[in-house]
Amino acid sequence: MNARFVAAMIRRELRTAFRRFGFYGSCIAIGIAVVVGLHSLREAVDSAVDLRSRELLGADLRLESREPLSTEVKRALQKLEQGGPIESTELTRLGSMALAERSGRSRLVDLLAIDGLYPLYGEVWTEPAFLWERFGEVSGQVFVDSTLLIQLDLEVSDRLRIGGESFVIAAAIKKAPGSFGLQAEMAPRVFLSKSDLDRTELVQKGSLVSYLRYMKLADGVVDAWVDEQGALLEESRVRVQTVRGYQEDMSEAFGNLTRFLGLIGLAALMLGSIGVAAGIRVFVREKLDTVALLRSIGASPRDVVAIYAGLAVALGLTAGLLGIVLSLPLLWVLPDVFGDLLPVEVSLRVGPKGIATGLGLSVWATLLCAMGPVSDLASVAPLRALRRDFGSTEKDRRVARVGATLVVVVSLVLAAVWQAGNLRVGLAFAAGLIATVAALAASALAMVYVLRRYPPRVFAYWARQGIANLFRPRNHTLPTTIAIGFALFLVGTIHTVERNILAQMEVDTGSRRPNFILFDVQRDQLEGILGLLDEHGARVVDQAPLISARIAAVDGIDRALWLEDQDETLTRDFRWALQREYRLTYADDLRDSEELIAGSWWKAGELVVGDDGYPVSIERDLAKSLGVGVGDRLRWQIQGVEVDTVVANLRQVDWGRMATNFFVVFPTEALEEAPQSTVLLAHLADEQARAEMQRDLVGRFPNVSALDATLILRSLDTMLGQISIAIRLLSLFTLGTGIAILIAAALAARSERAREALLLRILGASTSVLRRIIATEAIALALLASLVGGLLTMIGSFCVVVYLFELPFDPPLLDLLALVFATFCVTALFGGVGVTVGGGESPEAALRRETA
Amino acid sequence: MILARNLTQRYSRAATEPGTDSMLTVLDSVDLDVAEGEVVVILGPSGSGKTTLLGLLAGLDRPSDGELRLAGVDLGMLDEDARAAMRAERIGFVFQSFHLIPTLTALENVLVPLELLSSNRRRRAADAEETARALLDRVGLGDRLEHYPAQLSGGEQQRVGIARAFANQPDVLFADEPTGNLDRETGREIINLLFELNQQRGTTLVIVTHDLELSRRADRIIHLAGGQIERIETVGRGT
Repeated sequence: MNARFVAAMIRRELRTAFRRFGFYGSCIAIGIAVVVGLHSLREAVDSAVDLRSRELLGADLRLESREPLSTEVKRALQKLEQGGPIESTELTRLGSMALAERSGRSRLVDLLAIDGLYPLYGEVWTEPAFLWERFGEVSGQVFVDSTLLIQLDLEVSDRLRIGGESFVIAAAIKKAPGSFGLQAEMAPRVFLSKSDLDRTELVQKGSLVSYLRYMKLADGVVDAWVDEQGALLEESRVRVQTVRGYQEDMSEAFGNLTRFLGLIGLAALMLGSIGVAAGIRVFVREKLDTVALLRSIGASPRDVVAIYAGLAVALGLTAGLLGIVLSLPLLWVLPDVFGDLLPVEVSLRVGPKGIATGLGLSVWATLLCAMGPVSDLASVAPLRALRRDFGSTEKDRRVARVGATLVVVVSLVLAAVWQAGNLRVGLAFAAGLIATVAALAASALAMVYVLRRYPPRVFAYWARQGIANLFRPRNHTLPTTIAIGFALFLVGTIHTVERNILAQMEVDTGSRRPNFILFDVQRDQLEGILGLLDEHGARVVDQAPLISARIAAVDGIDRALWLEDQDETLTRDFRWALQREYRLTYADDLRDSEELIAGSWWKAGELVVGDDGYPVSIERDLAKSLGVGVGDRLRWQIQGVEVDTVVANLRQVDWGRMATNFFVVFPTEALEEAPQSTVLLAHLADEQARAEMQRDLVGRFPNVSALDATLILRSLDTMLGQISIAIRLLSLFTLGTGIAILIAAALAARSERAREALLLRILGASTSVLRRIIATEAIALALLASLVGGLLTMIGSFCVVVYLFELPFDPPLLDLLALVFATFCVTALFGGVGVTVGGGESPEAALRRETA
Repeated sequence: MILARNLTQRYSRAATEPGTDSMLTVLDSVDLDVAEGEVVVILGPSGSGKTTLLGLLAGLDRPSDGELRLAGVDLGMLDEDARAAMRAERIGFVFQSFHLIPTLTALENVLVPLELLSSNRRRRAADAEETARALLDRVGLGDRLEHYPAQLSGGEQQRVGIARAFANQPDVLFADEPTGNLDRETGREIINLLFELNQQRGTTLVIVTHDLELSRRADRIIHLAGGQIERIETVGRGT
C-alpha cells in the first residue's frame, strides 16, 4: 500500500465529501449525542458516588438485623478494634404512623431512633440551619424530612403524635445520608432519640423492627473482616453494607437505568447509520469511474480500500465530534430530566471516556456503513476505464455483501450487549431492532410494490409523477421510511405501553378495589380495628394473618450447609430464597388471585399430617428458585420453632392484583396458634374518609400502620413519570435522526431533481406543475412512512402489553392518531427541502449552466 | 517492448438458442510485436476488438489464452497487485473520455501517477509537484493548475490527460481514441502534442483510433477485423 498516495487522496476527497456528507454526519451525530450524554451522566454519578459513598452511607460499615445483635456477632465486632479505635452508633428503625396534631393528617413514616453520634460521615442539613448539632439534647423532639411537612401540612415547632406520645418538630431535614428524593416521598424519615422511641412503646414482640449499627473504622479492615465473618453474619441473619458494596449497588442501580436508556441512543445511532449507508452508496456509485481510472494507472485494490475506508474514518470522526458537541445541551438538561432518580448531585461534563466512546462509536458506525460499498469499489476492474460495462460479477458482489451484512449484524449485537451490560437484554434488543427494521423495510417494499403494480391512473400527471418518484432508480424511499417509521414506532409504542401500565395501576373508584392497607394488626386488636373500619364505612376486601419465618432446611439439608457452598454452584435465586425472611400465612382455600398448577389442595378439617410434616403450598417461581416440586420437603423456623413441611401443591399468583398474595401458604390448623399479626385491605369511599380513618387509627391503635394506596400509586406515578420523561426525551432523538435522514436524502436528490425539473420545463411543464410533483412526492413519502410506522406501533405495543406485561390492550387511539398525523406533517414538510424548480431563469440559461 | 503470442479473449454470453456457443470470442489468436520507441496504431471498425486488444496489452485484463510480455515481463505470471505496480511504473494512458478525477484539480490529477510510483522511484513531494507543474506548462495549461475538470474545456481536459500520461515517464503509452470526443481542430492539436512529447521522450506509443489522418503518423498500422489481425501496414512516420 502506498501510504503517501492514500493520504493525499483522502485529503483531496474530503474536500467535497464534507459538503456531500455534512448532513448525513448529523444523522449519526444525534445518536452519538444521546450515548455520550448518558455515558457521561453515568460516569459522573459513579464518580460522585465513589467520592461521597462514605457520606451517602454514613459509615464505613453498616450492619442491619431484625433482632438485636447476638453475642457472637458482638464478639466478632471486637476484632475490628484491633485495627484501631471504632466509633459506633446504633439505630432502631421501624415503620409507624405519625399524626399531625394541628392538621389531623397522618401517614406512614420511617422512624429512626438514634443512640449515639449520627452520622459518622457526612452532614445533616436542617432548616433552621445547624440544629442537628443539638439533636438528642432535649427529650420530646423529632427531626423530620422536609417532605413530611408538606405532606402533613406542618411547620417546624408543630406537634407530631407517634405511638402514644406527642413530639415537637425541632427542624426539617433538607439533606441527610442514605436517602434521596423518591424514598422520602414514599416513607419520609423521622429522627428521634432512642429514649424517646422507648417511651412510645412501639417496639413490641412481633413488631417489624430493624436494628442498625453504623461504624467508623480504620482503613483497610472492613473487607477482610466481612470476608472472615461471612458465615457467622449469614447465620445470624445480619445484613452487611460496606462502602465498596454501597458504591457497587448505587452504581449498578443507576447504571442499569442509563444503560437501558442508552439503548435508545444506540437505536438512534443505528437508524442514522441506515441513512448514512444510503448516502455512501450514492457516493460510491459516483466514484466507480474514478476508481477504475486509479486502478488503470497503478493503484492497487488495497490502495482503493485504504482511501475510501480512510475517508469513512475521517467522516466518522467528524460526526463523532459533532455528536459530542450536541451532547453538551443534553448534559445540561439530563439532571433535571432524571430529577429524583439521581442518587447523588452531580456536575456534568464530557470526560475522556465519553469522548472516546463517542468517537469510537461514530467511527465504528461509519465504517460499518461503508464496508459494503468500499468492498464494491475494491472489486472495480481497471478495464472499466476502457469499457464501462465491464465490472466484477454480481456473484462476487453478492458474496462480499453477504459478508458485510453478517459483520453488521454481529457488530450490532456486540454493541447492544456492551451498551446494555447484560447478554440477554443486549441480544433481545438487537433482535428486536433487526426485526423492527426488517418489518419496516418489508412493509415499505410491499406498499411500493402495490403502488407500482396498481398505479393511480386516474390522478393528474403531476400526482402520478410524484408517486412514481418513490420507486424510481436512486430513490431514498427505503431508508427514509425505515428511519421515520422507526422513530414513530418507538415513540408511539412507549406512549401506548405507558398508558396501559398506568391505567392498570389506577385505583378503581368503584367499590371492588382496596385502597387502604393496614398492617401490624395484633391478634388482640383485630376486633377493635374491624369495628373502627366499620364506623368509618369501610368495606374489608381482604385480610390475612402474617407469621415471620425463615427456611431451616431444603430436602433435609440444613440451610447452613447449603450456604457453605464453596464452589459457588448455588444460583443467585436459590441463595436469595434460602436467606430471605418470609411472611407466611395460613388458609384453607385458594384466593381469587391464585391458580393451582400442580398437586392438590388440602381440605379443611380433613388434614393429614404425615411423617414429612404439614402440607404447604408454594408459589411457582419460588418453587423454581428453591428447586422444589410437589412432594419435596422444607423445614421452617417459625418464631424459634422448627416445623417440617412437604410441598403439597404449586400455585400461580397474579402479583399484579391488589390483594394479599403470598409465596407460602400453610393450612389453618398448622399456624393459627402461632404469634402473628394481620394485614387488612379495605376500601374507603374517598380521600377524606381515608384521612379520618388514619387519624383515628393513630389515636386508638398507634402501633398499627396504615397506607393510603393512592399515595403509593401517586409516588409510583411520579417515578414512572420521570422515567417516562427521560425515555420520551431520548426517543425524540430518534425522531430527530429520522428528520435528519429525510433532509439529507432530499438534499442528495436535489441535483437530480433539479436536472429533471429543467428537462420538464424544456418540455413545457410550468413551475406550478413542477412544485406539485415535488410536493406529491414529499406527501406520498410522508404518508408511507407514517402509515408503516403507525401500523407497526399498534402491532408492537400490542405484543409488549399483552405478552410482556400480560395486561389488557387498550391503545390510546386519539393520541396515536395525533402522533401519526404530526409525523406525517413534519415528514411532508422536510421532504421537499432544498429542491428548486428554477422558476427564475430560462431553460436555455439553466441548460448552459448545467453543461458549462 | 511488447510481445503477444496467440492472444485470445472470450467473454461469456447467455445462450439464447439451443446449439449456440455460450462464449463470445472477441480476439482470436492475435500475434503482435511492438518494438521499443515504435508508434503503432490499431485500426478497425466497431466491434473488431481494438479496445479489448488495448486492454490486454496494457495489462488491464487477462487473456483467455495466449502469452503476453511487456518490457520482458510475462504479464500472465503477475498477480493483480504486481500488475498495478507494473502500470504505475511503466505505462501511461490517454482515454477517449479524458477520465480526469473530477474532485481533483488539474495539478492534482497530474500528481497522481507520480504519487503511485514505487518508493525507489518516487520523488519528494516538492519535486513531484515541480514535475507536474512543468508538464502542465508544457501542454499549455500553466495558468490553469488549480482548475477542476468541470472548469476546463474538452481539449484542455485532454491536455491534462496527456500531461498525466507522461508524468511517470512510461515505457509505453496507450491511447484509446484520444481525439474521439474532440472537434477536428482540437483533435489535431492534441495529436501534435502527443507526438511531440513522445518524440522528446522516446516512449513506445500504441494508439487505438478511427482517425485515418492520425494513423498516417504511425510507424505501423494494425488492421483488426472480427477479432483477428487482417493485415499489418508499415507506414513510417508522416508529418
